[in-house]
Amino acid sequence: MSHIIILAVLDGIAYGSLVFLVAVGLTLVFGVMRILNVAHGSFYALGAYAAASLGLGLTALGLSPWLSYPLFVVAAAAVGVVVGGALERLLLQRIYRHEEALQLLVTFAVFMILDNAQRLIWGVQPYFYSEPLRLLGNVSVAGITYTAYQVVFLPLVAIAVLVALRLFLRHTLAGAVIVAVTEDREAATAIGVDARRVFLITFIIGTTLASLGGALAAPTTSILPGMGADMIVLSFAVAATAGLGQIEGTAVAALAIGLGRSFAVFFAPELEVLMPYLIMVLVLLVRPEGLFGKATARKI
Amino acid sequence: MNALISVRDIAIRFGGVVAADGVSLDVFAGDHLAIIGPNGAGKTTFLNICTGYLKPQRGTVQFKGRDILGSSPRAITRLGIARAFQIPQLFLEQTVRENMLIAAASAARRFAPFARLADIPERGDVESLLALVDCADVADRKAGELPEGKRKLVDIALALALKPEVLLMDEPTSGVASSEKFAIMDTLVAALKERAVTAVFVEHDMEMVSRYANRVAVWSAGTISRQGPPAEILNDPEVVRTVIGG
Amino acid sequence: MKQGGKWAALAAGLGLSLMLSAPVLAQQKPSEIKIGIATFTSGAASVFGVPGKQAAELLADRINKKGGLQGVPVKLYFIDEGAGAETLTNEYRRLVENEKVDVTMAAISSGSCVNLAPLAEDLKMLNLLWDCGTQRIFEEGKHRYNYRSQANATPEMMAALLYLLKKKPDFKTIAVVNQDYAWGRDSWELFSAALKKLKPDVQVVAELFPKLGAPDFSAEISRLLAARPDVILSTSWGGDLDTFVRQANQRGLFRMSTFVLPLAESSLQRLAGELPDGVIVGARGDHYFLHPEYKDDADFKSFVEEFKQRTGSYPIYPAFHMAQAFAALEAAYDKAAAANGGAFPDREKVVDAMSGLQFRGYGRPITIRPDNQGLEAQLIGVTRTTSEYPFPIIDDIMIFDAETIMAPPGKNSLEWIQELDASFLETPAKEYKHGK
Repeated sequence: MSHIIILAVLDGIAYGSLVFLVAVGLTLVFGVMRILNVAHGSFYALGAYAAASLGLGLTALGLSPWLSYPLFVVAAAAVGVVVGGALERLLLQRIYRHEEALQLLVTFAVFMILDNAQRLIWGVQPYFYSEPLRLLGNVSVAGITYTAYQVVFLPLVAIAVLVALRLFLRHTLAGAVIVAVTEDREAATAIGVDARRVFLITFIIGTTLASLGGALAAPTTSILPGMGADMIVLSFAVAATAGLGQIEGTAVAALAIGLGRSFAVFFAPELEVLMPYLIMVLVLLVRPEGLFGKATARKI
Repeated sequence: MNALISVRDIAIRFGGVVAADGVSLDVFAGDHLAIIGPNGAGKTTFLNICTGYLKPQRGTVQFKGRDILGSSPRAITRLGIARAFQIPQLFLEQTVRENMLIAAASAARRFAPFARLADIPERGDVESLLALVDCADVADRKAGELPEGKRKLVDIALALALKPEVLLMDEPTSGVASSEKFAIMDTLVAALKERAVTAVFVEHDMEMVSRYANRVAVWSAGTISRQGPPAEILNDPEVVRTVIGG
Repeated sequence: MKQGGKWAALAAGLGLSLMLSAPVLAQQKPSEIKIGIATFTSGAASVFGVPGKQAAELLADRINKKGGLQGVPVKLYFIDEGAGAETLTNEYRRLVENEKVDVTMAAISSGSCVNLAPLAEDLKMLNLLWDCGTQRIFEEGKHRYNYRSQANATPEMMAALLYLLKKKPDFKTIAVVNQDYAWGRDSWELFSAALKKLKPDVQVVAELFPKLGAPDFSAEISRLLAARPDVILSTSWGGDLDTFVRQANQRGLFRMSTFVLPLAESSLQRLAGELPDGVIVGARGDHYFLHPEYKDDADFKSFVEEFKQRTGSYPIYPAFHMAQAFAALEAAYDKAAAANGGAFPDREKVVDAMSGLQFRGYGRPITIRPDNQGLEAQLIGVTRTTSEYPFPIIDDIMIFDAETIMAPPGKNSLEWIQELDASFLETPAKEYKHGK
């Protein structure tokens, strides 16, 4: 029995790591810009497609598949900066002052547009590129074979991102400015901070993280239309459970949800699909602001 | 002598309420100008107009000869006019030092995203400012944990970190215990003098006004009715009656 | 006879014959036969829907080159099942009432069929259920306008089970990983009920139903690796099957268990290199571009080649299912015309012709039973890697006749299963090896 628990824990960590990467970008964007970006899922999907295309290109050119690792970052940055930056500058900037319902509709429309664009570019047949995963081989735990990619590499990346974000937000100038703008945009503007630039940078960071999540997920799965939609719902659940805007909290929530899901697969498979949302609902019933969120009084 | 800030014939109304109707005022370099007047008379509105938060229906505001009406608060800050608010606008989750560093970097137009906050060149100046406002001892505490008096000082220090030429303050000692008011104002005025910052402050406490202001402007019925040195204004029976309360 | 009488008789005769021939003359040939087709052009199931659409276009072109159905060319109108149930229903109505199609072919998803079949009955529109598998439609209720030009879930699952029991009679444990929706649940229900009847000592060690479109099966695979079942069944398809197979392969699950994948024929080309040898695969009918009984037929070969040329891939079972639907339609028009004295038949006559219709796509001939259900042979085999193709081929093929593995008309499949006994294991099948 205990070795089943070890397995469930490992699976939970692997799954939670990926979900964390995507959800943390969403929560960062919401925390700073107060925008719920429905199109966040599209960046996940685009990151996956871009990584697969670049990877398949590597194969076609006969180059070493190890190059796919740096290419993940390239793919993610390309999507985040180009598509994310363009989206923020051309569209989102115009709707910050409007009410949230409109903002939600706009980002939803963007999601649909990007979904169609992705279909036009890559078609509807599944894509896959699992070379990077194969390169790292397997590890054996409690007699069960795991891929090193999923139980070692992905959690390491998630931890690295978490640490990097923390260092960035707490110790760098740009990070401090972002935190300041998050807390009080007016006050920040009053001392001369360019809030618009902060928004752009934050949005790009958020979308790059989502694309990185997609790029890293690509070798583990079939890349299909619709993968963005699934991920956006899950990342909302994680972000809401953690408390929107909470970075470290997102890691905890992602881990909790990952573990909840994998334990369900082992002990109550019928609940597997439901589990993330069950956890979210239970948490929000007890703490509506999320596990780590602060109940904020409205500023008049 | 040319006025640093020159306000001419400002008029603004909100619906049926006339907040200002023909306000004209000059602020000269080195002034510690107090604006007094009844509550709700429009003084805060006036400060909002001068710092770009509101646009009047009529009138002009010039800073060093340059028209600043219609500029954004951020632009006006960058031109050299800083503002301390009635409720201090601090970043409560960050330490006092962090608050100051952000402001200083902003003023220095520093855009080095990955620079370690603690290492930016402005840190020396931040330390001396903190000492100047007697807040060096709380520099590592979160701004949200400070008592009201210290918060006010930090708010002012933040404004000073922007290296302004003019500092506008809205009731700098309101909400502060009377026993502390003098200490705070002493510190503040010393800091202003040290940095050659011109000050305009809205004030209700006449003791503060008489002690710290070099000029007083009386706000009454949407306009500046009197201007002059404190001794003169504060003893004027008309002023006493309408503003101070006899 | 007097002169006037002769003329009168002649006139009467002419008049009578004119009257009698009037019905024949009055049935004008339309300028085209409009066919409305429901398929998935978006969403995960477009891995089936698009090849189905491509096959339809190819087949329509072929028919029109031959002059059409009874001399009338066909024109295709497509609606997308991926747009959701409500939109699909509206679109179907639009096809019938606005476009005025003459016949419809719907659909791929069992859900779509359950919605559209009653609608077709209402609108009196001949509808061919060209790909959906749910056995429930014709087991519950009578239909006049709906016909299935293929088999249903029951023979598909029975064939897979029989193959497994014949080839690996001694397995002790089984697990299932199916998609969590009607097909996944129903197919397991049929399979497990029959398994329990025929081999009651088998233990089910895990029943996993991940959601449709699940991107990750790691936890399921971990659990299976821990449980070590002898057999793993999955009726998944498309991206789900691809992901499951890949992830299972990466972690060595194929070495541990025998996999039974009844829909895997449609994924063979995509899973090149990822699907090991010895996996039991099915094709939802006797569909395989190297069908042992027909692969050397000129007609079969030309279809396969033309499909490959147009789309870049060999045809998979949705394409063959579409071919059956078109073959059924053609046969129906021919049969109805023959019964109509060679004249072009109206819609009701075509519907009449569907009863007991016999036709052939590119596999074995198919008959429509009195309950409107098609009798389609089932092909099962195991994967084998060869040097001839970059993807695994199917070897050790068994082809089962439909009648032997289906519930008789009017009988509920689950009830029929309860009446099975050991003699069912003797159900005959023709066996073939690859390349022969």
